[in-house]
Amino acid sequence: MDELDKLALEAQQHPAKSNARKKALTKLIMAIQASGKLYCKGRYDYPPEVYNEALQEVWLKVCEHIDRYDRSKANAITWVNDMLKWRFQDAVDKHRNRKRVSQDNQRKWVQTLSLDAPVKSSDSDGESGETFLDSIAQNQPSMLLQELRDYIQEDPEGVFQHWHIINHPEANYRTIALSYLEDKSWAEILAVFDNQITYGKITSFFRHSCRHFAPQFQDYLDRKEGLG
Amino acid sequence: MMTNLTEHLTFTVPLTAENCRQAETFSRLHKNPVKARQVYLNTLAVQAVNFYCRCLGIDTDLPASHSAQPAMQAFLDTADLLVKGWGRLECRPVLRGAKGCPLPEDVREDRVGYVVVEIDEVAKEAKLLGFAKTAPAGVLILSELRSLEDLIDEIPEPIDEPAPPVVNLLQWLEGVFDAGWQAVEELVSPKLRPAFKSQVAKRAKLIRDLGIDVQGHPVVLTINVWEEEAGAVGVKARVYPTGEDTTLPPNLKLTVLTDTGEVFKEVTARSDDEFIQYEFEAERGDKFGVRVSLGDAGVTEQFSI
Repeated sequence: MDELDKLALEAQQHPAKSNARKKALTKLIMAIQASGKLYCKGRYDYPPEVYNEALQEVWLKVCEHIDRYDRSKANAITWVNDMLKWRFQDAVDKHRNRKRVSQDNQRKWVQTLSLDAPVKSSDSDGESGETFLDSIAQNQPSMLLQELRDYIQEDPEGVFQHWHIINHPEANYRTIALSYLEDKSWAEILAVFDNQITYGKITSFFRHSCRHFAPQFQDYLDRKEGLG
Repeated sequence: MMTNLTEHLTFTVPLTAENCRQAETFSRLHKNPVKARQVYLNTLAVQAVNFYCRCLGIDTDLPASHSAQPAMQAFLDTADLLVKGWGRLECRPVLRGAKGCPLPEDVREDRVGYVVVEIDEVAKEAKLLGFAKTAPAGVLILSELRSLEDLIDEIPEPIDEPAPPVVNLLQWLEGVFDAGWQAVEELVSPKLRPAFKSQVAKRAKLIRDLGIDVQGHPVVLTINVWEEEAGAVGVKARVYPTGEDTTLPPNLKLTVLTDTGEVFKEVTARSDDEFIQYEFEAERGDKFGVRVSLGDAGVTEQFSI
């Protein structure tokens, strides 16, 4: 019995979901990674992401199905490498399909298609999770943040304007956030308020306010995205 | 070696095309190149820690993490991952060869801990180097990080929700009823109530929490049980409106579930339905669920015969 087998058996001994098992699984995977015994034929014929995808699946399975490891049938490393072989085959298939789909999409692009239509791929889920909207977003880098800027600028309910540093209504969230989004430095922003406010005060106010408004921003941007 | 408890645990996450795509999609939202790079690395670090959590069965909420919200990315330098039942765990990226990990002011408060993640962009790997509970100096020295073992110990173990009580309908036939189930007359208006045969055991329960659409208008689930021939048992589940309402909210669903939770039968209210119901026969030893739902909100009751 080698080191890796011992670690696999140790992980099995602890109840599922226990901290002891989580630690043992971490130890096992760390030892496998360090052992240099992982083997995957054809690994270097594809980009590293393909092998990595297979390996992520393997680590998930090792953790989820550690109880299925049977020492009498195989060494731990054989068990893992066998899983890796099949997962790698799946990842290669997926990679090939993705390539084919992206070529297809370039052709389809001239047709009119719904922006949130999923990009089809032939993996088990049937969809890659990528939509045509994603592809547009990639070409228009700051669209979403332009929306955010407009939203704070318009301030339809007046909340950003009225949320300000105590005794300094001019130092309100709306003004500070818009300056920040214009890439102004804190020194420049402080100058806007005639340096009446300290750096510590304004940055702390800004941080807390951003966290305060986070759900509101997210709701707004989600709605915007939803409209396509 | 295997029993060496002082061993410093790390974990290397192989990054997939999907991990990188997510990081690119987020970073492209930001025009400022410094910000774009920051968002790219932060996202990879969060994705890596999230993967480690998935492996260990630790529940996280990625969409509720500020690091996954474009507005928060723009305003703050944040690489938080919301761990359910715990809080925001900061996943700070460093590049290979770094000795320390400076923590921006944005992440010094309101964090349950820090994991430092070494990003190797060539090998497409992210290595979880270790954990720190606090960072009073505003910088983490990598050689002083604690083992991932300490991270595991810090995460509170989830409290198991108590299994929902199972209502034994055979006892109903003997006149023993469960708490929470009332006489039908107490809950269902006489206008709607049909006459029942006397050998039928029947009880009703108010179903609340069906979301805002029926707020203030709870519905009533009634269950009738009677003995059939050859030891079988007849069951009728029915849903009524309450109060002033004489019809059910449209699209309200009554679903009978098998003991493994699969849908056995589903009935949906149309507009103007006074009630919906489903009647079936069960054997002794059978278990099933009855679910009343509207949209995503619903309540499930478990029964056994």
